[in-house]
Amino acid sequence: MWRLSRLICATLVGLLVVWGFVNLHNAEPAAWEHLIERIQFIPALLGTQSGVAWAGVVLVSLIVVTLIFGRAYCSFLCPLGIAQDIVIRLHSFVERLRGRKAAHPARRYAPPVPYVRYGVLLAVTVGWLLAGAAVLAWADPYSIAGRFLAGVINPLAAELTNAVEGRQVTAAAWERYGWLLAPVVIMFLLPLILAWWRGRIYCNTLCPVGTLLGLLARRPLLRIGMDPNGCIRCAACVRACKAQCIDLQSYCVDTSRCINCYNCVSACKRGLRPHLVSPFQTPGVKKNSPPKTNCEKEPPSSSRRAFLGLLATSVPVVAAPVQADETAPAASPPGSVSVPRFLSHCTGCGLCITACPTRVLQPATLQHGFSGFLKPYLDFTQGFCNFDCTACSSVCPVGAILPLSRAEKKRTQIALASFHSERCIVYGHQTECGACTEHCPTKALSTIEGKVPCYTPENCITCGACVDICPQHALSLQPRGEHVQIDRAKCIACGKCSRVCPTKAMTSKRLMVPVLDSKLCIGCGACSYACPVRPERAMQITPLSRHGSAEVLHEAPAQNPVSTDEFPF
Amino acid sequence: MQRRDFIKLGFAVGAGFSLDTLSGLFPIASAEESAVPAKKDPLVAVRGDDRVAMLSAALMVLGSGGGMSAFVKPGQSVVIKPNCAWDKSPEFCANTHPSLVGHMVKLCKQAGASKVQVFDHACDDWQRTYRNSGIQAAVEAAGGEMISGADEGLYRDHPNPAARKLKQAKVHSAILDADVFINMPVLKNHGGARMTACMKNMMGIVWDRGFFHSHDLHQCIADSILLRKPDLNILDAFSPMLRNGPKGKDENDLIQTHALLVGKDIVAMDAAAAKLLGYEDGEVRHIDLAASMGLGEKDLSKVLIRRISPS
Repeated sequence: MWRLSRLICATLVGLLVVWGFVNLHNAEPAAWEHLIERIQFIPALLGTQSGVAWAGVVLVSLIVVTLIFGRAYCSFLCPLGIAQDIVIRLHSFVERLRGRKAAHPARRYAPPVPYVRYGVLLAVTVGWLLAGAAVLAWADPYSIAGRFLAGVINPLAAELTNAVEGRQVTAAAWERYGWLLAPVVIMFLLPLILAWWRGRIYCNTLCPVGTLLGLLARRPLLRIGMDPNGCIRCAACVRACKAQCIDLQSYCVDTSRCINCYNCVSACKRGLRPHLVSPFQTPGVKKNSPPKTNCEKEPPSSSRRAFLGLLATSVPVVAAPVQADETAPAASPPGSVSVPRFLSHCTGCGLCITACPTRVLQPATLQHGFSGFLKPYLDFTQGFCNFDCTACSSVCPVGAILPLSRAEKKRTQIALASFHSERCIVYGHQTECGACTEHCPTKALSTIEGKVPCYTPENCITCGACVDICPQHALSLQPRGEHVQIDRAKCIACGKCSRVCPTKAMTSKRLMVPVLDSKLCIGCGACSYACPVRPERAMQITPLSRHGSAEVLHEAPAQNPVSTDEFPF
Repeated sequence: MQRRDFIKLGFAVGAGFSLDTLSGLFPIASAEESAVPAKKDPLVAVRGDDRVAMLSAALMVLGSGGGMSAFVKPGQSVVIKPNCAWDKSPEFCANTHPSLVGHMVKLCKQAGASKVQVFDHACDDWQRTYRNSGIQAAVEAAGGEMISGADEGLYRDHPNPAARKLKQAKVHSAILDADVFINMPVLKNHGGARMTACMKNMMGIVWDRGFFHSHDLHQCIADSILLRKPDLNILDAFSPMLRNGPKGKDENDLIQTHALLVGKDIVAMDAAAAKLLGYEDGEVRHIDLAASMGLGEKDLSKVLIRRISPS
């Protein structure tokens, strides 16, 4: 019954997590679709730190569950744990095929490795407190699994769907992670290879979440306790244990390493099962039980004490506000409030990256600096942030991107566009374009009819009339005075130069020229994405470190320019 | 067709003919001549309160009473290219109205089309755009197929030797392969091209739109008609976007024209559309360029225009 409930729960969680990370139709995510990513330990911890109420509830619940049952999270909810269980099951299956009865060669008790366990936990905790969530990106088992799902499984699902449907349902975005798939796959495969070799050794030795939950699970209420009197030492439980934590010598289950898979409970014919134990009772030992067990001999290690002490003193450090510059090297998604805040909370699980319909969200190499490795940034050469979309903020399980209403999103200024007329086609080629205003979702970019100067040096008598009249000082006579130079960066297409030119050397063309009002700009990058000028685009996007709020321009209703009584033709 | 619709239609067709004789703009055209298929296909301008009824009425006139069966023979494949470029809901009129596209699919199916495919090379994410524009639902409800335009692999190289700038382009296979191509845009202001109607809508059949923008937008728009001339143009001018086009930023940008234009001559269609937005002759350069290339008639006094108003 215990094992069955674990199997059902883990299967369900596994499927839901895969479902959550597979995005084929770019639908606006429904609220229930991403609940499962929110009941993960590190997301709940970081969400609580971000002040997200539900995350606090989840965190407390996970802690309470751990205090009652032990590390149930590791078998019931953790996607990396579930993936390891699949590998372990596969290994047993292969062994059985090869005719070996013993389920797993490593199924025997192994002593804990406290220095590695608490060393990793201490390092990750110190790293988290000093450098934000950068370290957690490497250590959080949910995020390790998430990135693999985002980078490998999501494109694979797209390929499969297209093959089955026989048409292009969705594009398989392998290029999104690109070469970053190498670290992503390695980080995911490492625990799986270890699992093939030694069961849940990754969870019990390297995973800091496992170690931390292990600290809480030293005295669970519902404990798998052995009854030395009833046991016949058949070792079925030891062979079934994936965590190598059952010591038959001392009749002791190391609850800090037990991942509550309940395989031992199923394997034992003699009534091994979890039962209510006083939390003050030492694990594995029944009062007055004749054979003395050795479970008490491991004292709390010094590193564990140091860790607990550090945790107690660390809260103010975490709560310290982030300092921000004006601009940032890369933009963070709307809802993340500021780039430093975003980087200190995001674990780079990749859920928002798969949810993003325009693929503007890409995993960063060093665009955010070292602390932003594998975390999303907005790559405005790949796409732009969809005006009506709030997918990333609604899926983020860690509160790095806080939920935004659509109205708030439409005003959230994550970057600012700047217009470089010297590169613009309208100024340079004197032909119309409008790609930037076409894509601008606000009224920040518009076009007005300007008079763009066209210069024919052969007709020029270098009288200097145009140079004198230019209000922008965009025109200058060349040093030797043979022709006029136009600084397109300064030109505003007012047409005054062509009006004063006596020789038709300076003429002008009536063209729609872009005009930018930065107050209305939200920095979605649509203009820059659409701008056809290469290599440097005429519209440039400068990411803002701290997000702002754009103004909204309200205009009176448009009036029909012609009568509607009759057709104007 | 219900009896009421049939009667409405009868009035519509009749009104078209009578208005035509009254107009005085076309001394050559008379009711008698109009009764037989005209040598030159007319441009039908409809004013009304219901887009769907307006479309049916216009097609009855243009198809000489036969409706879509004049354009689609049984067994033929049809591709409809609406303007479905922006992730905007129908109220913004940034995309062709879904009711029109759906109705068009239905009419093609009724005329015996073997399949009706609909796509656009959307500017926003295509899946969201198809969904939120309402066009996907309307097309699928009418038995049509909404296909992707979002992958380069769906486009084929197509030479365009008669063009001035766009000598070569990757054109969506559905356009190249279909028997009948129906161009079905919405009328809007455009920040660069000044106006987007039938000709500008052709940009969506091509993969590399950036080429248009960087190689004289107006000339490339005119050239794109040569890639494949639409067999029929239907322009949704019910609530055109007068300013801040073409994405749809503000419902206040719309004007209520309650018009629909249907015709075969893409240049004449755009010339008429420009008038609806208040443009003077020559203001929308791609119309003049296309006319100068012999792609159609921009002088509306030389075009047979039927003005009808059903209901």
